[in-house]
Amino acid sequence: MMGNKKLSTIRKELEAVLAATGDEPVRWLEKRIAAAKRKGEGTEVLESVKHVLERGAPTKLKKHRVGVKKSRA
Amino acid sequence: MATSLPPPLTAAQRRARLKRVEKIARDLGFVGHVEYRHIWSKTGGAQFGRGQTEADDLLVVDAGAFVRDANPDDFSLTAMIAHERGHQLLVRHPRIAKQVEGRISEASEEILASLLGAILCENTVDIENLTFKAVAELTDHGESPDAAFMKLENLKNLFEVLL
Repeated sequence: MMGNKKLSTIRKELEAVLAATGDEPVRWLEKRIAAAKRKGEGTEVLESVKHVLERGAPTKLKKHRVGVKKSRA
Repeated sequence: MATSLPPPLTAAQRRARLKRVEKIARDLGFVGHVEYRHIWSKTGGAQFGRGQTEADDLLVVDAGAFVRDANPDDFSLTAMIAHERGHQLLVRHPRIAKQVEGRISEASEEILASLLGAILCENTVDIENLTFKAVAELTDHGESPDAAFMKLENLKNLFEVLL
């Protein structure tokens, strides 16, 4: 089963795990991607994680109130 | 979920949900019964049930999956169903089932289902989100990030050959 953890929660958890390496998570991933490419290894998993971290939480759209503004008489 | 019952739907709305779930499931190759249940569950929105034969397998999607699908910061309905199809492949795909059956823990099965689900998806965001989930679960079970990335990259390559 899919499990109840939201993507946002999972993202925070993995971000914390990567931050524990002592480097900024995206920078840590970039270094690993560069190293893997030099060795001719696959980077799809690393790049997927990097992209999800970079996307971060989507910005919420501002709610526009619909209706007539009450006028102050 | 905050309330015990999801907001009511008309019969037409329920049918539309089932139709959407069925379409995604079949597009991902799911074989067996597909159901939509208008309930909250503790499954996270979708669950695979193994039947006697592949045709008896069951995919149940519930109201929670639609709430998650509507949240841009959570998994899409397609990603959730792909994960469940991943479970089906782990037990039904002739070459994959042979490699894993009876050899992996429940936790490992979840990780592999996400990885297989990612391979099945077409949408880049779904692929990346399910891959992310697999990595996060592997590190959550004590694997170091370096080891987790290496294992999953190797497994992904293996599954792509086997599928």
